[in-house]
Amino acid sequence: MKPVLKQLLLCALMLPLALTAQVRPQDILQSPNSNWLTYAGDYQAKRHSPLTQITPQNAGSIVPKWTNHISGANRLESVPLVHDGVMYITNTNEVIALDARSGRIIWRYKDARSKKQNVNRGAAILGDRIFFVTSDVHLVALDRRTGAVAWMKQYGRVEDGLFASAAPLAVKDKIIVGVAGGDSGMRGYICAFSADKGEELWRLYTVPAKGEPGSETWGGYIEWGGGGTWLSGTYDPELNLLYWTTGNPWPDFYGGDRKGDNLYTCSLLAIDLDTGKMKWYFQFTPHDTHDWDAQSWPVLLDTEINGRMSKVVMHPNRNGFLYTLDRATGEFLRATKMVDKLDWATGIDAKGRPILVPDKDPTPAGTYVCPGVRGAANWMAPTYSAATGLLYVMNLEQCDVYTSSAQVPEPKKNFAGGGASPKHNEPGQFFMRAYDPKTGKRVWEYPLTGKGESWSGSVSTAGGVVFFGDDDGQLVALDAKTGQHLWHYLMGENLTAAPIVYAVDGKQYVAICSATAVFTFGLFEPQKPVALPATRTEP
Amino acid sequence: MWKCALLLACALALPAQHEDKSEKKPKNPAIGNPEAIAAGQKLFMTSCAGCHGPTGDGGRGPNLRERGAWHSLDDDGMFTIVNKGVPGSDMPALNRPENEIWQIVAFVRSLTAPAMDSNAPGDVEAGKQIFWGKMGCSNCHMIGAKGGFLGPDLSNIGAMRSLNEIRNSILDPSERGVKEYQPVHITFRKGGTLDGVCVDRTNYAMQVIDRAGKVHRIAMNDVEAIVLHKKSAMPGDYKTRLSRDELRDLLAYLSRQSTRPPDAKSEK
Repeated sequence: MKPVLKQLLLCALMLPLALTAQVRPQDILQSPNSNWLTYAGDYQAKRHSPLTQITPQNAGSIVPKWTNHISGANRLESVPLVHDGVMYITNTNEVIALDARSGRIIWRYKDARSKKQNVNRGAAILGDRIFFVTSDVHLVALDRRTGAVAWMKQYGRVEDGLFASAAPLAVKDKIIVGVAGGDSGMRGYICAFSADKGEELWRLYTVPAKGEPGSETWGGYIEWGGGGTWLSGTYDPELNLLYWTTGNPWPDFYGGDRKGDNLYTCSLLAIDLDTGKMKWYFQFTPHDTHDWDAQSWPVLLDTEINGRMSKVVMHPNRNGFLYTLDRATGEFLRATKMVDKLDWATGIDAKGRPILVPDKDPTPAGTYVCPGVRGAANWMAPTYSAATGLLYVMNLEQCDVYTSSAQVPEPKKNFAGGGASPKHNEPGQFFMRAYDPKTGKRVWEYPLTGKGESWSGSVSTAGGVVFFGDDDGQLVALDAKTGQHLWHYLMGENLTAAPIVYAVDGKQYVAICSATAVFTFGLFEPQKPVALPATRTEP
Repeated sequence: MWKCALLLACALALPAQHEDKSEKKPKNPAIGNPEAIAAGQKLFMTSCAGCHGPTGDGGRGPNLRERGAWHSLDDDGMFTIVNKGVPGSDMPALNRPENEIWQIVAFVRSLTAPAMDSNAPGDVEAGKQIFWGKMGCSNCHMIGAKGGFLGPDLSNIGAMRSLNEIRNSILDPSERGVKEYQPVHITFRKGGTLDGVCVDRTNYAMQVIDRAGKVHRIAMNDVEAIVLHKKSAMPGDYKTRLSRDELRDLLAYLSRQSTRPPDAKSEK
């Protein structure tokens, strides 16, 4: 065949594939289905798959389908994306595309010149591109088919105390990213880039500059006040609002030099997608001195509150309370205690401010406070099941002794102003808990064994199953209605990522990253013998 | 041929030598020196114990026995902190001669150094008799594959734990919580019970070792009830049962339990 004809034929063969396989904004709106197209599965962070093949009745027949050990990985925190049978996971400064059916690697992109080496939590997909952030704060756009670099844009400097770890969020024609580094002093922000060319469209700082509204809530150190944005956000297309959480004020454990509420740290921000302007904010922990970042997933639900259907955002906060806010206005609606070990506040008042118990700030000698520094909830993904109407949250029951240091804070020197750790004879314990969004109250709980070291999240399915990583390195399936154990599988590593659900060729899979590998599971079916094709290599 | 072999040997040796030089600084002679440590302890009691506690367990100042509080400091870093203090904090500069500051650093280092490096005083032979006889330690612990099954093997304890950790484990075995070797009583669905220590436990399986050394691999579906004990199986009354001399001798014996001989460099 003539080369030109050959090329034309190849193009003709590939055209339908290229046309159908692009990810459109409306595809992400409809996710998840067979695909898992964004970090939280959908824009609401429900992490609820409509797939129904796996049920409480057959979950006992789940078996591993494939495992791929990712060379060089030692702490995968990545939530995989799946699109059109291809899975995309991230590691430090790296994206790996795998065949979601066989687990074989299709391509691998690594930025070996990054100035930092931090964990990475995942990628975004839009059009023909995969987007991820490098540790040294660059947003990278890669071709989803080959891993070829389309563009790379730096949006922050390591020299300013920043690094990046969160999965970008693709919304309409924009890619939204955040920054980390709040434990060492930095100034947090969220920014939007155009998906096609990587042009920065807007930037919203989470800590005001001197003289700006909100700066009156700071004493010193406002320039290094923290407010990291190290977890991906959620989005309401009707309101055209992004919901993004912010991290702790700095120095974490010593608040003596930053008297005031320290806006907008430990908060949830509602941001206009088009302009980047803050529409409202809600601060969960004013003047935080316990490193209780608000980084837990803001789950967007339409549910009945006090007998009225309401558009709400629910937020299981590190400080121990499960918050419900009106997501159009930011109005505080309710907060309920998630954990039994909670002693820093007697409750939350009508305006949403904590009612403080005195003398719970860290001291040089140590102050015993519940919850511990890891929080009652954290970035371990919650899930909301449309099948049961329940919200599932991984809770940690733990108290810590918090110490403080009045040493003159030096930014970028890994100085947090103190620290926190549990008493030796009081280790933490995880519980997978189901909450009724209508009341905020606990419906059932499933106690976990382990050392209190997991960071794994959950996913629910229309089939009536909740999957999560436990504190013993196991993927567990529970009956979503009752919390009854159905199935588990030991992966043998501490888990720091959340599972996802997807389908290829009409078959349902569950996948999760362990510390060093990707594991994928499905229902048992006998393998058919493979008839090896005649293969020869021409010289 | 010899030339080649020699070159190969040199090529292999060079990077190692280079690595060695870049990673290890010469230690101040006070570090690991028992006399300097003892002198440092006296200085610590007068200058540091007010904030850090007489045993370094912390008070107004941080706990120095917890590696987490200062593990990132090398000897020089610790020297600087003790010498110059921490500006802006309650940690003052210590106006003392350089050799005395090094003695304090040597003492603080010794709080977490392996027991075998601390040259613990006492009658090793008497300690051995206490371990294998009078106090019944060997009913539960092994040394050299002899002894009981309910506690950890102590054949290498001198190399793995600091003298302070060993002392605390003897005097207050439950103080740090019971993460391993947790005493457990199990009732089976089909009848019968089992007592032992829990080696590992998840919601689905459990491994228990009994006093006779039998390892029981248990599926949770077979279990009716589990009673876990928060306190260690180790008796908590050695504080009163052991005289001061007996404790010293037992520590002298245990601190010398190492499966490898002491490092030649550290002996110098």
